[in-house]
Amino acid sequence: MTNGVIVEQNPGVHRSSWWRRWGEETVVAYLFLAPSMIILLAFAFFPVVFSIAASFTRWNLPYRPVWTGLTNYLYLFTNEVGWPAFRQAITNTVYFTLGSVPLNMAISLLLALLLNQKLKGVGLFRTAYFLPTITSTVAMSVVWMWLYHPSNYGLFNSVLLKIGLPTERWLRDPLLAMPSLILMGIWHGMGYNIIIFLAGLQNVPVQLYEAARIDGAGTWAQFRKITWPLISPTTFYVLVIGVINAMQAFAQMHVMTQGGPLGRTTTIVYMLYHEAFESFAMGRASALACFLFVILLVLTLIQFRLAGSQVHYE
Amino acid sequence: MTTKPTTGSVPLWQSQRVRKGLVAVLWYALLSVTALAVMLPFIWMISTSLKGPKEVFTYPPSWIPSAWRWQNYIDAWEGAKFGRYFLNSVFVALAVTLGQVITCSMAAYAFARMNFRGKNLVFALYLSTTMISTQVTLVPSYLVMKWLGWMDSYKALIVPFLTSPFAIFMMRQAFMTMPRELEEAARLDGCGRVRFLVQILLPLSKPVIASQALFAFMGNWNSYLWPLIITTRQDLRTLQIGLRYFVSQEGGTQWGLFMAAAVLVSLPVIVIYFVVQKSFVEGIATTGLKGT
Amino acid sequence: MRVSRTHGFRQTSGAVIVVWVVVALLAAACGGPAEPTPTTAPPAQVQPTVAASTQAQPTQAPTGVPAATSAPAVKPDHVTLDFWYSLGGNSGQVVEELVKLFNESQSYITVVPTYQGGYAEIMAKTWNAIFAEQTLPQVAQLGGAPLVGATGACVPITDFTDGPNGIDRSKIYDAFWDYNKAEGTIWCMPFNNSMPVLYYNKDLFAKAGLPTEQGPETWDDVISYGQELTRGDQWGFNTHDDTHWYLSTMILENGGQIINQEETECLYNSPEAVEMLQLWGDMVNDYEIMPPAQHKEAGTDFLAGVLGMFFRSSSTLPSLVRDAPFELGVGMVPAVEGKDRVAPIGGGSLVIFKNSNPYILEAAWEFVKFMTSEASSLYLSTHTGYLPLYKSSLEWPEMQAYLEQNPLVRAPLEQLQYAYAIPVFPSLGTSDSALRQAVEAVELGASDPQAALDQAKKIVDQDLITQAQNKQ
Repeated sequence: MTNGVIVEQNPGVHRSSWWRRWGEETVVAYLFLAPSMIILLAFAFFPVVFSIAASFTRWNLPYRPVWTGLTNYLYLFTNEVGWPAFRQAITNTVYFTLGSVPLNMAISLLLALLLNQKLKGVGLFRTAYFLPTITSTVAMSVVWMWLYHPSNYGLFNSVLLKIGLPTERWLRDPLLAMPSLILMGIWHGMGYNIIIFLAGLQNVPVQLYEAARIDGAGTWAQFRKITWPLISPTTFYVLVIGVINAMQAFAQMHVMTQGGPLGRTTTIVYMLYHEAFESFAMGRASALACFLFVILLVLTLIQFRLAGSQVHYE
Repeated sequence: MTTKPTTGSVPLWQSQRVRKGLVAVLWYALLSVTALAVMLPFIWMISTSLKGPKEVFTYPPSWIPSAWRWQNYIDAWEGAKFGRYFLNSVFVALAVTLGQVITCSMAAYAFARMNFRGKNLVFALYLSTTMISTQVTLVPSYLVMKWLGWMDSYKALIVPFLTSPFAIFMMRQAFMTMPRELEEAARLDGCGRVRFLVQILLPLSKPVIASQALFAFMGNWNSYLWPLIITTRQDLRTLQIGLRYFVSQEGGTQWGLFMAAAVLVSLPVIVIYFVVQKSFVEGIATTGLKGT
Repeated sequence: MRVSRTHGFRQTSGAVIVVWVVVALLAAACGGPAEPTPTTAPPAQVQPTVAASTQAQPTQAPTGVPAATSAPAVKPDHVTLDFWYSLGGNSGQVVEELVKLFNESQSYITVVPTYQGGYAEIMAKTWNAIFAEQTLPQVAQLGGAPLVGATGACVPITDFTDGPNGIDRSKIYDAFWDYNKAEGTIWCMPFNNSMPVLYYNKDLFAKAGLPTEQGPETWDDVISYGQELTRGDQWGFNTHDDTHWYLSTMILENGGQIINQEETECLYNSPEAVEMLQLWGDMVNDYEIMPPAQHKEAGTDFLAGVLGMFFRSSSTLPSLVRDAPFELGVGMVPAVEGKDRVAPIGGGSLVIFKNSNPYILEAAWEFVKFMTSEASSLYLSTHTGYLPLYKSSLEWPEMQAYLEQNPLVRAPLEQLQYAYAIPVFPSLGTSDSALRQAVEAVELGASDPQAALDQAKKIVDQDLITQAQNKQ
C-alpha cells in the first residue's frame, strides 16, 4: 500500500505504473466497500430488483405473480380510476416535500446555530429539541389530534379564540390538512437535522471567526462568508436525504388523516401502502414504488450535479 | 459569534461584558420559549401517563392529573413483558449501531478518499436503495430470510441493518472535508489505510460518527413492522411490539397505560442522547486542528 | 480552501437506471415472472415445521427446509400448537387467559399463543408466510379470515364441526356462519364478533330533557334528539372513523345491498343506498347535528362529554364504561322508519391451517372447539365487548346474573336477533375505503350522494375484475 504513496510522490511516473496504481487502489477500495456491499447486495439490492420486476406483474398476495407487462403503469397513468388518484397523490407528494424540506432546513440550521454555544444548560436544550424525534408515533398522533382538534377546545383553536381570531378545522379542512401535517412533520423531524447541523458546524474552525472579527465582519457577514460555505457539505446532505424522506412520507398521513379529507393528504407512499396492506395488490404497489424510485433517483442526481459548484469540501 | 467586535472606548451599556450578558439573556429566552413549544406534546404525554382512565379526555383538557397515578408505570411494565423485550431491544440496537459504525466508516472512507473505477456508479447504487419504499421490499426481504433460514432469529433482526447508505453518505461528506495533506503526511510516516481510518479519521470526525451512531441506535429501537413480521417467538420480540400491545383497535386503548409505556420506551434513548450530545460539538474545531 | 467538484454524476444518472432495469429484467426473464421460487405448487401446501412433539421449541427446524416430520402414523404423546392472535390490550389478555384455561384443562395439547399485531399486520404476516411457503401456525385468530380460506391455505371448519367430534352448528346464530363463508364454504369458526350500537350520554340527555332510559329508536329520532343536543361546542351525533360500517348498516336497513349474489357487481349506487347517504349528509349539512369529517375525534369528544350520541362497535363498551366520567347509555342500532333493524357483524374468527398430520388437525380442532364453547363464549363476552355466539346466551343463568350487574350489555345482546353478515369478498378492503371516501365527499359538500356512490361503485367494480383474475 505504501508503494502507492511513493509513486504519488514521484511526478515523473510512467503511464503503466499509473495504471498499476489505479488498479491497486480500486482493489483496496472494493475491499473497504466489501462489508457494506455484501449486506446491501443481499438485503437491499435484491429487494429493489425484485420490486422492479414485480411492478410488471399482476401480483396479489398470497397468489403468485403473473407477468402482465405495463398493465400496472397503464392503470396509474391512463385508467379512469387510477390516474385521477395517482395525479392527486403526485401533487400532494410534491406539496409536502416543497412545504417541509426548505422550512425544516432553515429552522433546524437556525436552532443548531443557537445550540452551538458553550453556555450553561445547553445540553438540556439540545435534549429538549430532540424529544419529538424520540416520541412514539402513536403517542405523538394522540397529542397532535388534540392540538389540532377542530372544535373550540382544541389547543390551537383555544389560543386563536383567546386572541380573537376565528377558529380553524386544521386536519379536517381540505385546504389546511396538508399544511398542518407539514408543521407536525417539521416538529417531528427537526431533531435529526439539528444534530446533523451541529456536527457539521464543528468543521468550522473557530480561528476563522476570530480572524473575521478582527477584520470587522458582523454576525451576518461571518455567517455568509464562513459558516455557510464551510457547512455546505452538511447542508447538501440534509437537503438530499430530506427530499428522499419527504417524498416517501407516510406515517403522519397514516395515523392522522388516512389520506383525507377528500384525498388531500394521500401521498404516493400512502396510496402505495393502501394497495400493499389493504388490498394486498403488491404488483400495483411495486409500480408506484418504482415510479417514485425513478423520480427520486433523477432528482438526487440533479442535486449532485447542481451542487458541484456550490458544495465546498476541504 | 453572536457578539459584535467592539471598537475603542464605549459607554458602559455597550461594553463587551454587558453586551455579552444581554446576548446570553436573549439566547436563554429565545431557546426557552421555543423549547417549551417543542416539548409541549411531550409534556402532555407525560401528564396523560399519570392520569386515571376517567380523566384522560376531559373538557377542557387538564394539564395536571388530579391524582398522580404512578401505578400506570408499574402496570405498563408488567403488562407488556417489558423485561425480556427490553433486553432484546438493547442487544439488537447496540449490535446494529456497532456494525454500522464499522461498515459505514469503511465504505465512506473509500468513497471520500480513494479513486477507483465505478465509484460514482456504486455510490449512486448505494444511495438509490433508500429510494424504494420499504412497504414493497418487505416481501422480497422476507424471502431472503427464508432462503437463509434466518426466520425467527436475532440474525434477522440485526444483519440486514448492519449498514446504512445514509450514514455512509454523511460520513463521506465529513471525510471529504478533511485536508488531504493530513492523509499524505500520515501515509508517509508509514501509517496504513486502516490505521489512518481508525486512529486519525474517526476521532477527527467524532461529532458525525456520534450522530450517526445515535441514529442507528434509534432507528433500530423504533422499528416495529420488520421485527413483528420476521419473528413469531415471544422471546425474540422487541419493545415496540410490546408497546403496540397496549393499543386495542376495537376494545378502546387505555391511554394512561399506553402513555406510561411510551415514556418508558423512549426513556433509554433520551438518556443515551443526553450522554452523547456533548460529543456532537467536540469536533475538529476543539481538537485544535486548523483548517486549510 | 480548495473547492472540489462532485464529479461525474452526469454520466452516472443514466447508468444507474439502466443497471437497475437491466438487472430486474434479467432476473424476471430467468426466474419467470419475478418468481424466485420456481415451484408452481399452490401456496396451500404449507407444512408447519411444528409437528407433534414433546418439546416446546416450535421454530427450531431450519425454515427453508420442508418439514421432515410430516405425518407420523402413530398418535403422539403430546402436541404443541402455535396460535397467532391479533387482539391487543384488555381483549388480548382475555384471549391469553382462555388459552391458559385450555392448557390447564388437559395435558395432551399445549397451545403457545403469540400476539402478531392488529388485523392488518397479522394479515400481512399470514399472506407473506403463505406466499413464501413459510411456517404458519396451526391455529390463528384473524379478521377477514374466510379470505384466507378461499386461498386454500386452511381446512374448511365444517370438516370438523360436522365430523364425529363435531358440534351442533344450529346452536350458533346463522349470521356468524354466514360471516365466515367465502365462495360458498364455511372456512372458519366465529370467535370475537361485534356489531354497531348506539352509545349515548345520559347526563346530556337529561339536561336536554330527553328520555334517558332508552336510546333513539329510529333515525328520525336520532335527528330530533340530535337537534336538542347540539349547542355550543356540543354535537348531537357522530360515528367512529370506520364510517363504511355505519353507512352499510343504514343501507342494509333500508333494503339495499353491498354486492350482488354472484359477487361481480357492487350495488353502492342503488336508490336505497343513495337515500341513506343523503340522510347522512343531511345530518351534517342540513340538521347540523354531526360535524363534517370529524370521525377520528368522535371517541374523545364523546368521553369529554361534548357529544350526545356515538355510533360505534359494541366491542368498545367495556372501555367506555371504564373511561366515561358520565352515565353511559347503550341503545340498539336505530331503524329506518317502518323497517326492521339490521346489525352487520364484524370481528375475527379462528382458522385451522392445513396440515398433513391428522393428529395435529385433531388437536387444533380440540383447541378451537374449546375456545368457542358455550363456557368460553360466556367468558369472552363477559370480559370484553365481544358478543356470545349462541342463540341461548340470553337464557344462561350466568349471563342473566351478569346482565343484572351490567345492564348496559343487554342492548347489544338483544340486538343479536338482527345480526346480519355482509358477504366477505376479496375486494372488501377496497369497497370499504371507497365508501368512506363517498361519505367524506358528501359531508364536505364536494359531491352529491348519487355522484359519490357512482364513483365508489366504479372503484369497487374495477377491483372486482382484478381480484377475479387471481383465480384464473
